[in-house]
Amino acid sequence: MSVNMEKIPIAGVKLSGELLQFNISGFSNALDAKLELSTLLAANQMNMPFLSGVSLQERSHATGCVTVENEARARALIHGHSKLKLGVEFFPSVGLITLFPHQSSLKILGLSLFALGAAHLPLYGMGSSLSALTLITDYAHLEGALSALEEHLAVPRENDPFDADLKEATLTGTFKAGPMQTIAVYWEPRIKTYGFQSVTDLSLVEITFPAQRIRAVGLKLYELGEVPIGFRLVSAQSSTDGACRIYLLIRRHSEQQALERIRTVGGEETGDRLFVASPLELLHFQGPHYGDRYGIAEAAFKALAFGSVPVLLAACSQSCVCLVLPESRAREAEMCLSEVFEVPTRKARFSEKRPQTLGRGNERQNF
Amino acid sequence: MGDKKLILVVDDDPDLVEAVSLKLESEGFRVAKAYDGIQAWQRIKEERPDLIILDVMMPKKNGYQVCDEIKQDPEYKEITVVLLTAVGDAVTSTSYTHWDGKTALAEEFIPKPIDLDNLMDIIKDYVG
Repeated sequence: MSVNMEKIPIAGVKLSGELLQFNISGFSNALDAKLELSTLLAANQMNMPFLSGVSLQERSHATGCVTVENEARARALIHGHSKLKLGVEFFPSVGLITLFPHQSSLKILGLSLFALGAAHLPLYGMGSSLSALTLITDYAHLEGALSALEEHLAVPRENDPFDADLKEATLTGTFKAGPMQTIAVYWEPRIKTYGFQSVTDLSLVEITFPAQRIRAVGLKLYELGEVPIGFRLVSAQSSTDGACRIYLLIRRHSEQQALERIRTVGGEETGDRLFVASPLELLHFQGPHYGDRYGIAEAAFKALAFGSVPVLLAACSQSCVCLVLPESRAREAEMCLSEVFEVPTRKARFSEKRPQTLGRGNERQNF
Repeated sequence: MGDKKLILVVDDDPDLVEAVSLKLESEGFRVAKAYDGIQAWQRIKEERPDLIILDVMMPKKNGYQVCDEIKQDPEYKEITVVLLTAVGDAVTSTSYTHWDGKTALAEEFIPKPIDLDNLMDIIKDYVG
């Protein structure tokens, strides 16, 4: 079935450096793989620029990435963990391609998957944040992935997804010395956050399909975007048995319409397996440089485990932590997280305003 | 469009841009977005915002540079600039220091994370 697919404008694309991905799977819910993983790596001061995890239907699965510089240590740590080592798969030399804003658009999601499938590029994982959609594919083919996306998404001409120094280093095998860019080192007794936001009355749709069908599934999701159904969160995992699972968090009132469209293409059942969990709630929060710092996910999952709040799905990417929770648990989760995450209070005026007696323009005044 | 003030939000963190934009729109403002210093200038020239929320630590051109350029341009120097930065007492950085912000020409200098309601109060002080 051919569809006239419009080219949708986005604001930008980012490409990561080379990463090691690991999938931890095959456990019952008794083991929270994402908690174990985040605790292990945070204890060794290792950041994960991407982490997702799901605990559904008595299965627990987590996907995480570390930089290639941390690969050897991460492998050793996971192999040394009595439980994690039993269900780990490593995917070396992967990269993240992040596009933004996703606009909660199933069309953008569908086009992204369609583009990867059409270019015969693998999808090793995926996760969304408040504004960005991150896909994991082969590091060696990141530029190819970008080209594939650009056939379907209008990316600004000035978009330069590589850091200039990194790009030159990648192409020439050298590193040009220069001023370091943003590297912040944090220590906070309580981690600061912008605040917590929650959404209720949601449904989580799990779509399981053979990985080679990603192009077709992308097209299906694009078509689903023709009706006013947006996603609140999306995540995906692939495994070496050839199966891919996409998790789509949508408004519950859209569930039936979405399922009907996902089940069929051209009026025929596709055979893709579907599972739905509802009603659910979404809690998300973000903070400065969360994506650059270790320990954020660990702090969150520990707080929730301490409060016995189950997390059905978590997606940690960019600067956001997104948590899918059972009905009526978001408020409780927020209270647990507030023990370790600090929200600035409104009453204190933090800003330092220039006194009105000082002029503007070319005058420089030291406070 | 009418009398709604236009706020330009500039940050290389798309999630923060989105969160601030949603808050601004809920408060009745129009919003333009940019994700680095070069995009910021494009938006300024295209849309001439009433106020700019500007992150300091950004690639290509940082917020201090953008702010300086705005304040030294006769055509744009009257635009209110609110600098946001994660640089603060608890943070060390190889490229930026807390005190650099003290000499910037911005109207406001606000450390992250800021309460969004607080940010709205500050914006309304300037643009109503």
